[in-house]
Amino acid sequence: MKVTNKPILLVEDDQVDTMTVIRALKEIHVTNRLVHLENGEEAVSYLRDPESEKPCIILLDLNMPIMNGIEFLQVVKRDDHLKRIPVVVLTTSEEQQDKVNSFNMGVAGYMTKPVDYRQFVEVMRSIDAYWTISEMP
Amino acid sequence: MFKNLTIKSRLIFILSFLLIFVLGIQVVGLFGMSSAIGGLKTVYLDRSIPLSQVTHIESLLLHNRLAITSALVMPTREIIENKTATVEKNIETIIRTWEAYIATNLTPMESKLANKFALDHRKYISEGVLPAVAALRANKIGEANRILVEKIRPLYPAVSETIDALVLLQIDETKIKYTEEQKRYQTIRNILIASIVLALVLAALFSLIFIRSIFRPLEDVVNIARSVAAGNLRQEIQVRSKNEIGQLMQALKEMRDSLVDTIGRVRDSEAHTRALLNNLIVGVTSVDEQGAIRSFNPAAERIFDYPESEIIGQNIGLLFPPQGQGQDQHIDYLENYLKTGSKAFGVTTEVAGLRKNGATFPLDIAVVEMHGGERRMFVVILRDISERKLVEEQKASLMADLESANEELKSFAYVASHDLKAPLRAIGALADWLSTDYADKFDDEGREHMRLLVSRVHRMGNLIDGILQYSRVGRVRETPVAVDVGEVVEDVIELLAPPPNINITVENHLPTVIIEPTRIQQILQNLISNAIKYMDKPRGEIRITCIAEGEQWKFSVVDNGPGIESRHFERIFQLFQTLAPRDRIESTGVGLALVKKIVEMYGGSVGLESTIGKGSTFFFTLPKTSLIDNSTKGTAA
Repeated sequence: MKVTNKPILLVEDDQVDTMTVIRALKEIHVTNRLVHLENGEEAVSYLRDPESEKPCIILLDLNMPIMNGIEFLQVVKRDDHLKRIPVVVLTTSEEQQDKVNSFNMGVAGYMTKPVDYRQFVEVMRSIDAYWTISEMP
Repeated sequence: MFKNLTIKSRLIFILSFLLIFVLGIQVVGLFGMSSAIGGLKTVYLDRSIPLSQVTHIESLLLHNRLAITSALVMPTREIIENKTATVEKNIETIIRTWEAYIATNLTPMESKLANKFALDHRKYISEGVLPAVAALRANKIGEANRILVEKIRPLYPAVSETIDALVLLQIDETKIKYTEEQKRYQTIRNILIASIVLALVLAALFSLIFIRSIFRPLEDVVNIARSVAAGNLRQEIQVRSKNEIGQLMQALKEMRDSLVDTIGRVRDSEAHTRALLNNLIVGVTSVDEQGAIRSFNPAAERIFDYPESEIIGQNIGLLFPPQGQGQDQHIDYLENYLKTGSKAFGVTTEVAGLRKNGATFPLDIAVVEMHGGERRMFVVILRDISERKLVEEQKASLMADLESANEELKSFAYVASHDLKAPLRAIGALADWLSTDYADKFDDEGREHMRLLVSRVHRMGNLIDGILQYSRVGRVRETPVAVDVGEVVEDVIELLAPPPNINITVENHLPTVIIEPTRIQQILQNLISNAIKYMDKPRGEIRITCIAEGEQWKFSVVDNGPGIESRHFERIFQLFQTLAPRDRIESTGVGLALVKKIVEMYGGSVGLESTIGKGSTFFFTLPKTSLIDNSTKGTAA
């Protein structure tokens, strides 16, 4: 990541998927701190908490209890302080409707989680590479 | 017999009769005139002339005596000569006149007197006059005087009396004859008057006969015609004669019979129509321009629960629930029909009906204008569709249930597969980490087990992907666009990157079809990849062809691979069915099922022909109707 002092926010309910992300990030040597929250609601309250550090990027699962990814996006993208934070969707869903909804909400990327861990590492590497090159506000 | 004559011949007959009658009167008149003229002639010849003759004789006799007397008074020579000549001349005249008189038509009385006169006169002349004349001529005056005193004076009165009597008799006879002729005149006049009167009577009589024989029957005809017009068709019409009136009556009778016949047929037809109306299962009612009900058939009675007697004359608005302004809405409805004109007529519309008990129900209604009468009439056709509506509602709810069940089934396959994937991914990741992190702890068998575990995770991932793909067909729809199948084939070949020992050719120009691009790609990718995957020959030949077959395009993928036994033809198109063990050839068994599902969704069919050891031909059809022929710019691979 270009900015290393800001945390990466992971919104994910599945424990193994969380472990996968952490392991992959470690494997590709991303040093940013990782903030893990289990659903949209927790993530919103974290982001709105003035005490908490604002993340440089949000990795978002769509299928979550309490508040799902799309609902989370609806809240965040209407918030003037939060809407510029890039959000990359990391999901199992290959549903067209989910892709359309996500991009309507202005996501920065949409990745499906591969079954194979090796391929997952490659996905994470691509995200890191992109956000290392890309300028951020 | 007279009755059977025609009026024309009767008229001719009567006119001829009158003509003959008038001619007869004329003849009688003429005859009378001529006999009157004859009478006049008789009076003149037989009476007037003899009277003048007798009078003449009388005067001549007197003259003779006076002449003799005067000659004796002055017996000069000259006078004697003169008077005796006169006397002789007079005698001669008397004899001539007498002879003429005797020749006339004498009555017996006259003849008697005439004979006496002839005797007396002859004696008077021979004994008196002639001797006196002779004595005078001899100048024997004394002798002459003596003859006068002794002969002429005593003989003369007898002659004079007889001639007087004849004169009187002649006057009497003339009077008698005149009276006779007068009487005859009167007779003729009377006959003529009588004839005229008779002619008048006859004329009156004929008029009466005419009235009786023509005008009376004519009036009868008029009365019968009027009574027929008034509707009395059962009356007796008797044809009494063969004349024109009889013919008229006959014609009237025929007309009446034909009318009765026609009315009978009309009644039959009406009865037929009525029976039809009464037994119709749809309600039929006729309505006038004001909306008043004129007829109401039994089906309409059943629909609305009103007896016909009660509803006739009522406004049709009674049969519909009041809306908005009030009861008159159906009149407005009718008026709308009238305003909008014929295009709205005959079109069935669904409205609400109102039964007698106040219940409303769905009703199909169609209004048809009836032509023919002076006023506009409308036939309203009504059908109670409450039962049909009920069935329709049941059907609709059943359909909704079915649809939701189908929807559930579709999303079930998707959701289930989706949710299976997350734990599978966890298993895959964990197995990967175990074999990486604890590589040195595993022996060869352990490592082999871990490899098999990861490969099964992959296989299961593929299966789940297959299910997702399969369930997505028909559930997720792209917009069909014009797709050049030739280009799709090129893309697919490039994507599959066939090994160099397999040659793929496109034999003819492939058309452009209107289809979802992903679906046509899935079809071709599955068929071509199967041909590559199962190829068992050192030189593989795969050919792609397309021919027009009626309303469809028939695409074929022909290979020279192992071929398939015909008993498997059905099985291979079922989901998850494969013919080779999965460990030898990695296959999910989704591909052909997917192809079949897509092709059938587009109204096509899929199938194959195969010879064991020689190869297979998989074909599928797509309808041309949604296709655009593009064979002119087809591409070859």
